[in-house]
This record gives sequence, structure tokens and C-alpha cells, in this order.
Amino acid sequence: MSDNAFVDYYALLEVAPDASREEIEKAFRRLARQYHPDVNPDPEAQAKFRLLVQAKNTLTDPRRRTLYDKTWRSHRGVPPSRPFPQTKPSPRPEPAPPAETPSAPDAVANKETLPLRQTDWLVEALYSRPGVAMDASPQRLYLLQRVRPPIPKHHDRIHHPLFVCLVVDRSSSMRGENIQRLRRVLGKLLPLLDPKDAVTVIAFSDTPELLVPPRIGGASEALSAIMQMQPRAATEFLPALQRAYQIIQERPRGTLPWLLFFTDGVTYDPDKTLEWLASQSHLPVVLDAFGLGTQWDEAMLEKMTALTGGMMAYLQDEREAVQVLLQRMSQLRRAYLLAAQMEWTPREGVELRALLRMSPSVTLYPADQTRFALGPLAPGDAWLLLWEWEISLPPTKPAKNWPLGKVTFRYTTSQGEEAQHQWELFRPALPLDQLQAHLPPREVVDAVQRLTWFRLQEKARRAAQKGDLKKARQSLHALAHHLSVAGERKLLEVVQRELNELHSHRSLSPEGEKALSHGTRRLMLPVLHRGEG
Amino acid sequence: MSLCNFCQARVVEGMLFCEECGTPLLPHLSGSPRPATARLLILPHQRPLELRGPGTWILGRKRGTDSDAMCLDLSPFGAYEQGVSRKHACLEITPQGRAYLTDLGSRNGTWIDDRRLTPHRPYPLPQKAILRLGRLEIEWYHPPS
Repeated sequence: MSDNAFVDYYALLEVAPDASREEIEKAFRRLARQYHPDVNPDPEAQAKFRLLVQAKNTLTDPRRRTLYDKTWRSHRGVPPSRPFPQTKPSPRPEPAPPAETPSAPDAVANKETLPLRQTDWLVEALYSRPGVAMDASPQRLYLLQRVRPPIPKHHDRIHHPLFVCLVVDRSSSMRGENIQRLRRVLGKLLPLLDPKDAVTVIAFSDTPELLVPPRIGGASEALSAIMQMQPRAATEFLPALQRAYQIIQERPRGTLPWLLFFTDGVTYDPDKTLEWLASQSHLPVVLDAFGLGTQWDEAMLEKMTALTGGMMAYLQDEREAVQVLLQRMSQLRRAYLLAAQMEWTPREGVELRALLRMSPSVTLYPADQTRFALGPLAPGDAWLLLWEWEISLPPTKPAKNWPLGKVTFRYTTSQGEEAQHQWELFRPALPLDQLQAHLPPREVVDAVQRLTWFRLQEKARRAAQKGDLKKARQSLHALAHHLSVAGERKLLEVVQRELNELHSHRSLSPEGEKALSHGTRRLMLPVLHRGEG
Repeated sequence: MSLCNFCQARVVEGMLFCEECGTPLLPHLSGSPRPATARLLILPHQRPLELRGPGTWILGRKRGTDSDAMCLDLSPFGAYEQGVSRKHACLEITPQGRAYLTDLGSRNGTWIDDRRLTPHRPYPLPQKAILRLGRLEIEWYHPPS
């Protein structure tokens, strides 16, 4: 690691970005016991210890922490704080689902219920309008929702050893830059694993091969196997995933399974793979998928991770990739719940058009489903969900509580307990003119706008693939306009480059397609201090 | 059911952004840090079009132009019959909130309050004016931001 590279102190100390001074000092003491030169003579441990001291000194000094947070934000693109600004008028809390007050949506405006205790459910809701319009069909309704299940009392003691299962594509297309990039990223990640973590490596082409059997402290062995791996043959996901899940089933007790799937290509049997993964989605396996190069199938990886609650990322910028992985590693170690699923039971005539998870990572779920895997959660994190509905059977008379549908959460705690919680979403039924005078909350507008940008680039790419250049150009021009108004210069450059590409090559460049998707996805992560500087 | 002011796509009640072109559908939704809303009123139709700057728009007829990016399509208002060229004029609202109109070498000419524009030269637009593209009259209103 170069000396002046940005280091994520929060990930390093394995604390949440909004951790208190006490939490930081506690985390430091815990890690120091492990890496102090007196107990750990390994030169790498010494280097890590120096970094830990640096991190603690920075984060426990309020002035230095403020400065550091600025850098942190610019590297991470996310706020080290809650997505809803605390200074703004408090967002209307949803009928929080406590058992003793079964859905009393009127009691909600009651601000005294905030702040909630950690043992409560935290459900905050911001709707695009204060109600559902009577007799207006069809109509759209958006909801930005922050959901945080109860945090166990002794959450600061949670520190899972990981069972890291690397599933690595070694088909012949990986040859060259793709495999080198993967080696560099894993070369930075693996040495940062805990000595207590277990590591295993499965390399796959059309058949999987167990390169390194699971071993505690096997990080360096895993790394050297990946360094020596020789690309050959074609790509098939399913046998490799099946092998990985089988190995994960036999993992040591108490370890948290983290499956990292790296590929640069497409599989022969996407439907069978997805079907099989769906049948495994009840297992507390965290499956994160990473695409290398330009030929991988983004839609496929997104579906795979959406089925398991994992995240998908484009492994292009190495520094960014290492940051994302470290952040993820720290989140998983502290995860207090796993394999969380949300089930949506709509009322007739209420159609879900999109469900977007904006935090902790971005996933746009296939909207034709009713069950959504939300993945693990660590203390300090919450799910930020954007719902988009189309209502085709609206209310015909005024109503105080017009139900939209039911939400059921099911999850397994890291202690292995299963839990479930259900509540109903209500909105008052109001006359249309009353709703039209209403200003939607800024946060909802922002979130929907970013989803709209993402869809514009999707539209452009689909049109370009079909050879409809005019339509592709229209969508990209519109996107360019909105990005320039919003001052998103970096992504604007990508869009302009692709407009030229359309003009000169009559198609988009493969790198450009991935950059458009990745760039608009990044913008969907919530940013607290947007617009400053 | 209404239409998007910008691209004429169908808009569903309650929608916040046009799904075709991403344009904010409510005037107060502008993503711009300094919202400046200009209004064009197509006179024979009394149909207002709202523009949020900064930005650049081509006034003309969409059909048949090779690049219709940011084209404000006037064909629904009888542009062809009124002698509006496909790329007739260019309207620009700068980040400082100033507006300019440039004739793009149109066949039948562009006027600001009865003053004919020399083609390819940007003319500053006042707060209020009557614009004429060929024979199509448009009322321009741009309140100071």
C-alpha cells in the first residue's frame, strides 16, 4: 500500500461511520490487543498497528475527525451519518410496528417517539404526497423508507470471524488485464483478514475446482493460489456456486459465510442458476458479485445478488474496489442480523413498479417479485428503500387509513434466532386538488431523480443495442442535460464521450456502458451534504 | 392524462419526473441550484411550456432532425404550417439566469418584438417579449430569479 493512499479509518477500526468516541476507543483497544508489536511480531501487524494508532488519533479529535470526514465522504461518496438530515423537520415516522399498539397511523406524527431506543424498530417514512388521490387512475406514489430492526443490547461485542469463500472465474477471457486487476485487489484485501478468518478458493471455468480447501488463517495460501492460477476454457456459474454452497454448509460453527464471486463473462444457463440460487435464498450466505472488464452481464449479477441480499459492483477502479470490500468486511464482522427478507403483499390495484435499496448498498430489485432479500445489517446501518407504486384502483371516498399493502420482515439474528415482524402501510384518501398543492419532500425528489437518471441510461443502452440510435441519443442528451444542471461533471464527461461514440461508431463503447451504469448507480447512494463544495 | 412539457410523453398523475426524458414535472422540483423558470406561451394555443435553466434548447420541429437533443418540438402547435424550420432558433438560459435567442439560419426568420434577428448571432432576451418564429407567435416571460 502506498503511503499517501486514502485509508478508510472507519473500516480499519471496524466501526460505523457515525460511531461515538467511546465506540472508537473501544474498537481500538480490542484491535490493539491483536496487533500490538508486543504480542504480534509480524511486520505486517506492526504496520497495521501504526495505522490503527493513526486512525484512533484522528477520529477521537473532533477537529481532525471533521476534516477527515470530508475526505472520507469524497472517497466513499456516502455520508458518515444518517441519510435523513437530523436538523430538518423530523420525517413522519411510519406506524412503527410495536406489538402493543397495532397500527395506529394517527399516533405517528408524534415526535416524542423519536429518538427510538435501540431495542425498538425504527421505521421512518417519507411519501411523495400526503395521501392517495381519490378517483385518479392511474396514479404514482413514492415512499422513501428507512428501516432498522432492533439492535441487540451487546452489539459492540459482535465480531464474527469470516468464512471467506472466493469463487473466481478463470475462463480464458480472464487472461491479461482482468486477472491482473483481480490479483491486485485481492492482494490488498486478503492480508487485511483476521488470523481467525477461514479462507477457501474455488476457481471455475466450465467446471469448478477447489484450489484451496477451507483453512483458518489461510489468506496467504489463497493469495498465492490466485497468483498462480492459469486461465482456460469457458464460463459456467452454476456448478461453481453449488460447490461453494456445499463447502459453506460445512464451515466451522460461528463463522459468517461471505461468498465473493468474481467473473468477467456470461454463463450458459442463467435461468437455471437463478432458479437454484432462489431455492437457497433462505440460507444466511452473503453473496457479493463483482464484474471485471466489459463483457460481464450486469443484469445477471444484479439478479444473483438481489436473490441473496448481496451487492454487485463493477471492479474497475482498484482503489474504490478495495474500499468497498473493506467496508463490506467491517460491516459483515459486526452484522447482527443475516439473511433478512422482506415480503410485500399489495392491495388489489396497487402495483409495485420499483423497489430500490439505496443503503447499505444499491440494488434495484426485479419488481415482479414479492419477496426481497435485503442482506445483512450492522449496528449503525439501516436499509434505505425507495418504493414506486402505480395505483390503478384508487379510493372512491375519503378515508383516514387507506391500506396500500402489508410488509413482512423475516430475519435470522447472528445468534441464530429467527424473527418476524409485520405491519401495514396506510395513506389517507384525499381529493386530488388537495394533493396537487403539496410539495414532495426534498429527499424523495432526490431519490426519485437519481432513479430516473439510472433508467435514462438503461433506456439509452437498450435503444443502442436495438440499433435505435435516435432514441439512444435522445435519452443520453436528456441525461447529459440533467447531469450538467446538477453539476455531476465526472459522469457528464462519460455521457458526452458516449454521445460521440454513438455518432462515430453507431454504438456505445463497452467500457462506456459499464461506466454509465456504475456512475448512475453510485449517484443513488444517499449523500447527506450534497451540493456543498 | 397530461403530457410532459418537454418531450410530450404521457405523464401519469403523481409522477415526479418524466420517464422518457427525466424532466422534473412539477415546477418546484428543479434540480438546478438556482431555479429560473422561463415560460413560453404558444399564442394561438395558449399552451404554456416551462423551461428551467440553465440549459440550451433548439426551437423547431422534432421530426426529421438528425439530432433532436434538447429540441423543443413545436410541431403540435402547427409549426410546419406556420413556417417554422426544423432547427429554427436556439434558446439559451445561462447559469447566471440570462437568456439569449439565436436564429439558426431559419428559412422564414426569427423576431424579438418585431425586430428581425441576424442569423447565428445571440440576442439577449428581455424579461417579457413576443417572439415570432416564421409566423408562429410565442409570448416569452422570464422572471428574475
